[in-house]
Amino acid sequence: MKRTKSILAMLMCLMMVFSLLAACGDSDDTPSGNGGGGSDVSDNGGDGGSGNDEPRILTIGVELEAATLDPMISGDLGFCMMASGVMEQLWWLDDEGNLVYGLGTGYEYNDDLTELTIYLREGVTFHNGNEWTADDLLYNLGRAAASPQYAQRVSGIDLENSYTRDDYTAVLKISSFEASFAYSLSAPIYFMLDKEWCEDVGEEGIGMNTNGTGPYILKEWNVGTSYVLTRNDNYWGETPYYDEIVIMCFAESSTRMMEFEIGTLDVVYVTAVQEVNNLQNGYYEDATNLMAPLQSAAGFVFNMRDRADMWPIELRQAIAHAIDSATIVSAVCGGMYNVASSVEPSANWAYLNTGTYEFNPDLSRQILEDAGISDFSFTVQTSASGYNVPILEAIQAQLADVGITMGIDTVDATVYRTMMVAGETVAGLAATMGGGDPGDVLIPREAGSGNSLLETSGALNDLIMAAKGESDKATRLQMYYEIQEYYHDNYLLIPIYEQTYNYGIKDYVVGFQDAINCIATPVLKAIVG
Amino acid sequence: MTRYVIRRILLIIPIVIGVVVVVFTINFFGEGSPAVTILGTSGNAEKIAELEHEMGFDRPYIVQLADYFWQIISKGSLGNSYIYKIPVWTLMKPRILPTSVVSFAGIILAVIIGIPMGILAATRQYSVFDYGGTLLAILLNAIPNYWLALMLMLFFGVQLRWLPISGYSTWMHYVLPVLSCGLGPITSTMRMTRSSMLEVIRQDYIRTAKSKGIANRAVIYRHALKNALIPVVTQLGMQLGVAMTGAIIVETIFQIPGLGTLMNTSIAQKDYIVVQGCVIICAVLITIANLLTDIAYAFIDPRIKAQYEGMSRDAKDKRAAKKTAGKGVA
Repeated sequence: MKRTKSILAMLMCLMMVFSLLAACGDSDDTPSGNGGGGSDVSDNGGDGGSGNDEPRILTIGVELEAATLDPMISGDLGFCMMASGVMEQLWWLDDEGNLVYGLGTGYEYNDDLTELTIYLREGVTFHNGNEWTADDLLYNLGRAAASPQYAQRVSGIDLENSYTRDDYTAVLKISSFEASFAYSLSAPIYFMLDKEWCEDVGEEGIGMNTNGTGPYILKEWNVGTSYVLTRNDNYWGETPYYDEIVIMCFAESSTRMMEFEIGTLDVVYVTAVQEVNNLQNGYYEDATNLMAPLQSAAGFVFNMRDRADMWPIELRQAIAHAIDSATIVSAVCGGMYNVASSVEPSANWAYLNTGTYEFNPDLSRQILEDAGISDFSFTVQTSASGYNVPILEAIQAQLADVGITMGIDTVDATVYRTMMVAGETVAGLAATMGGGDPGDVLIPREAGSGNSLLETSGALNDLIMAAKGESDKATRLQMYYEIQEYYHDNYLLIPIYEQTYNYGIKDYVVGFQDAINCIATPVLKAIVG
Repeated sequence: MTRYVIRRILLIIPIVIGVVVVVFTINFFGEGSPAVTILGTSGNAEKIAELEHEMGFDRPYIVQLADYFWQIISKGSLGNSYIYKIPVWTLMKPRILPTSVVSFAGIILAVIIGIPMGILAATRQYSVFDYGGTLLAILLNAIPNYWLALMLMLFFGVQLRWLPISGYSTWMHYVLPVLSCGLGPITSTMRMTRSSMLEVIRQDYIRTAKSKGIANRAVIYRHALKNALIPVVTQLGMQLGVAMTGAIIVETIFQIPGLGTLMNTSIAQKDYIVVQGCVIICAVLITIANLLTDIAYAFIDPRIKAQYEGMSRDAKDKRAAKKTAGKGVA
């Protein structure tokens, strides 16, 4: 009897607990996973196309959130997505590599290429009301020059002797001409900040808040979870479509997809192959997969800077014909990546399809035999990020088939980078990311760049430096084609994959699909109404 | 007792110093440098060396260590992040509370649920409660907490839509993370309580109490439980350290920006100074938790309380004796 009473009492307690939870959780008003700052985001299901008096809110789920809002330091997707709405550059590139003017309206070089004059857009104000002027431009270039990471990019400019002709004209003195410099000002590190505000708040303030000129204002930053952007009614350009944009950051892919499934997110950045397949197979109701090109190409490369003696062209040739890039990309990366076919990513305006090397193990064995190379072995190092390890394991198996033994050492990312700089890596996977200008993609390949796996020398380095210094665009394009052909003909890089961005998008979302297809255009700025 | 508590609080200082020295040494002699992370693809050997010199990384070990401690003592600052250039305390401050809540709430859950379940299993040995509880404990202990977290999210967040699955703005956001973090301590507390109670209720004095006609409830809760709780409280104190370090997985899954995720990112980026800051905070929190454990002993067992007071009294007597000896016999 006593035992029965105890069991009944326990069952009733459990029922009370579940009832309480059921009463607190309402499926029609699912609590959203927003940040610790307590900002409650209003129900956003279907707001993407409502067009009535309700505020238009777009909620985007991304992977990583930056620990600082300083554009000189942060560069991951979450930050760039937010910054693309809040801050602006002088200009950015369209799909054809032409400039789209933002805070700048034009530029010109003088006859002897010792001065670059930049004309600024008038009547633009920062979110705090300060006017955008040439002083701000020089200040931001000075920040880049003072940054250990980006100083190289402005090393051709003599900032000390540069000056402002008036409030909307800046004259940069050039110490070393690079035709790509003007184009490289489209990179995210050149998001322009208000000089006066920066000097007031200091470096710490720049990291904790932001003051740009963009169509959105950063209303709230819930550290570790989300950015909340609100429309800037004083924006100089086209009115943005959305009243509010919430960018939520989820390190864990499963959590991100679950939030997408229950409707918290309208758009989600997808990183798992299975999730891409689910989107394509209709698992998520009223949602589709969108693949957007990323300016990144990766390949198997050789340390020709320190170990050229180890890699005669016959060996490189044999390895190139032993690797089946298409199978690797399909089997390892699923639907996430495309097969690469050049050192430049296909989304770049200077891309030339040099083609992948023919997968032919018999040819590979023949080349090795003719060259008298047998039982060749080497070890590559890699960090465990992305698909590096499975890709290298696939290459390892394919090389073993032709009699080449490749070992794989997985090390910490920073240790790997240190080994690369010191020239301790003999070969491996290497990828580059560009900002729209083909010259940006080639930066780590220049002599002295520090990347032993990508750094070039001799004729190739001369070609790269010449292309970066060529002022005529058509001639530059031909030179970039020549560079890509040189890589291909000399087996210096075996193209493997090109990364893409994959998004899940609810069908009711307006504008994001078009925005994300603009390769270099800042995403949020492109969603206009 | 008060003196004992104050002495234990002051012990935090040498403990933290020791922890910082160990972590600093490991970071110093480990491979990789923050300069490499900062420079990224634009760093060659020359630039890396230049940046390391600028940031003082090429100074001797003892100089860097002394500089770090001096910075804490003289400026009260844990320094600036090498990567983000923001004060370490600014990075850590908003993250301490979420980590503490998840970790401590898990332990509180272990106390509220684990101890009664253990008592029930012990007092009804070989019953359905005992077998069922033990089986459940073993099962939950065997399940990795990250898998459990995902299953809880799927069931309560996606299928039933009862609870939110990410964030930390309301108390409801903490339910699933605390459950994920707390189920491990609940099961081990339950099993420890059960075995400890079984040992105690077989003692002669318990049999005596029962034969004197004292109600079973009074025998269990007034006589047996207090003696059985000592090892349980010890285990709970140790589990707090485990809970704090294990919270990183839960924080990542539920998108709770805590110290665990910050430390994980900083280790990968070689942002040693942030790692040291996080370790200091964790060391302080765990030391305080251990102190609370010791104080709890005093409340549970009067012999231990007397021992603490005895220690204070001994110290007082010694001081008095020294004074008298110094003055000489009148």
